[in-house]
Amino acid sequence: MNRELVITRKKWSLRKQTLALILLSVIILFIMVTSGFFVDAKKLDVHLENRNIAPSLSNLFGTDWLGRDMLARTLKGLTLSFSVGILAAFSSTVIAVFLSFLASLNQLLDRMVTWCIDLFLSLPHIVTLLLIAFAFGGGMKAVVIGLALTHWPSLTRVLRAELLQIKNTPYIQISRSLGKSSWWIAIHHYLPLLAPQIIVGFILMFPHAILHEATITFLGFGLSPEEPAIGIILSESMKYLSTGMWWLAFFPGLSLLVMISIFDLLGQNVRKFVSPYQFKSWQV
Amino acid sequence: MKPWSGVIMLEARGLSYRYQANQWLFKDVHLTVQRGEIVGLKGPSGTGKTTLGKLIAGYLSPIEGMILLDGKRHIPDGFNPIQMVLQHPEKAINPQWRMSRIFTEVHSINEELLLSLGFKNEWLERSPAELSGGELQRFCLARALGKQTQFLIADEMTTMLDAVTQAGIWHTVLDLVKNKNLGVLAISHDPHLLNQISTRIIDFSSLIRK
Repeated sequence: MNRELVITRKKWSLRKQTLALILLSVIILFIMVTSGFFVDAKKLDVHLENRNIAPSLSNLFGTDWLGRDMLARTLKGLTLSFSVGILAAFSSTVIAVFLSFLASLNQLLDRMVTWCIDLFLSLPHIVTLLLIAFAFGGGMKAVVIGLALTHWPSLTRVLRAELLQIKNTPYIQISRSLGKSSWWIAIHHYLPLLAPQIIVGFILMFPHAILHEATITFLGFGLSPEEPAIGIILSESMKYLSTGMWWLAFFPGLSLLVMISIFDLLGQNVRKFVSPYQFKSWQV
Repeated sequence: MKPWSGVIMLEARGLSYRYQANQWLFKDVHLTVQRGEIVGLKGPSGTGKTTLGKLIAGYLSPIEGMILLDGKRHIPDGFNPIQMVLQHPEKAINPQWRMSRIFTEVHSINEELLLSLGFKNEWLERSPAELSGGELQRFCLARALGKQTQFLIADEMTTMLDAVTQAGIWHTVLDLVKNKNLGVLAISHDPHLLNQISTRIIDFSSLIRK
C-alpha cells in the first residue's frame, strides 16, 4: 500500500558513488599509463632463447616469436596510445570549441560550420582518417593530425547547439547592451557555461581517438612498425595466431579494451557529476 | 550628470516587427519618451509590448523603422543609454555567477542607488539561486541604472513582486526620474500601477496597425 514510503537505504549517495568511480578510474588509468615508463628496456630486447612462451608467472602475457616480453610491450603500447589519444583529443576539442564560437558569430558562418559538420559526419570516419593520415605520410605526426581533423564534428554539433541556446538568453543580451564586446562575453559567459560540455566531450573523445589510432595502425597506415603501439602488436600477431599463439593478440587487445572502457566510464561519470539534472533527463 | 544634459528625447519611428513571415506583430509604431517623464504603456498580454521594448532597447533589430535619440538615428555601440529591465530577473543573471560579479560587468555603479534600493552586503557573496525574485530584480535594476543610463524600459519590472517591494522599487525609480531626469517607459498590464506612476499613459492597442 505505502510503497512510496519504503526507502531502501544505500550506504553512499549517488554523488559519492559517482565521485568514487571517477577517482577509481583516474587512478587505474594513471597506473596503466605511467607503468609504461617503468618498463625495463631489457624486456623489450630480443631473447631468442625465450621465444614463444605461453603466459606464465615469469612472463604474465607470454613472449613473442623473438622472445620479447608481451607485458612490457603492451604497457609501452598503452602509453604510446595514450599520448597519441591525448594529443588528438585535445586538438579536436580545440577545433570544436573554435568552430562552435565561429558559428555563434552570425548566420552565414553558422551555416558554413553546420555544412562542414554534416560533410564530415556523412563520410565514413575511418576513410577520412586513412586519407588524411596517408596524405601526411604516415607516422606519429600524420596519425595525430588525422585524428584531430576527424573527431571534432560531433562535439562541435553539441557545443554549437548549446551556444545557440545561451546566446539568446536575456543575460547575454543585457551584457551586450552594457557595452561588452563579443570577446568579453565569450570569455566570461560562454566558456564557463560550456566548460562541463567541453570537459566531458574531451574525455569521451579519448576512447574514439585511441581505437581509431589502433585501427589505422593495424591497417598499416598509421604508426611505423618500430613503435610498440597496440595496433602494431595486433597486426604483427596476426601471422602467428594460426600457429596457436593466442596470447599475442588476446592480452594486448584486452588491455586496450579495458583502457577504453575505463575512459568511457570516467567520461560518463564526469558527465553525471557536472550536470546531474541533465543526466536524469537522459535516462528517461 | 546634470539635469537636462545630453539627449532629451527618445523616439521610436515607424517600428515594424514580425516573428513569422507575413504575420506582422505590429506595423508602423510611433512612440516618444522625454527625459524626466514616465510613459505608461498598457495593453493585454501577448500583443507585442515586450517585443516593442526589446526593439527600443536594441535587443532585437526592427524589420522596418528606427530608434532615434534627439532626432539622430541610434545604433547601439558600446554602452547603450537605453537600458531595459525584464520581468524575470532570474533569466537576466548568469546562473553560474556570484552576485558580486554582476557589478564587474558594468563600469559605473551608482552607490546611492544601491543604498536606496536597500542592498545588503551578504547578498553579494551568494549565487543567484540563493536570492529571492525581489532581491534579484534590485540587482538587475542597479545594473541597468548606471551613470550613463538615460532611458529605462521597465517591462513588467515589478509584476512578480509583492506590494511592499514593488512600492519600494518604484519609489527609487521615481526619485531618479525627478533628480536625474531619467526617462522611463513602463510596460505593464496593471492599470492601477500605471495610474500611480505615469506622467502619461498610452494604450498599446491604439499604437498598432497590423
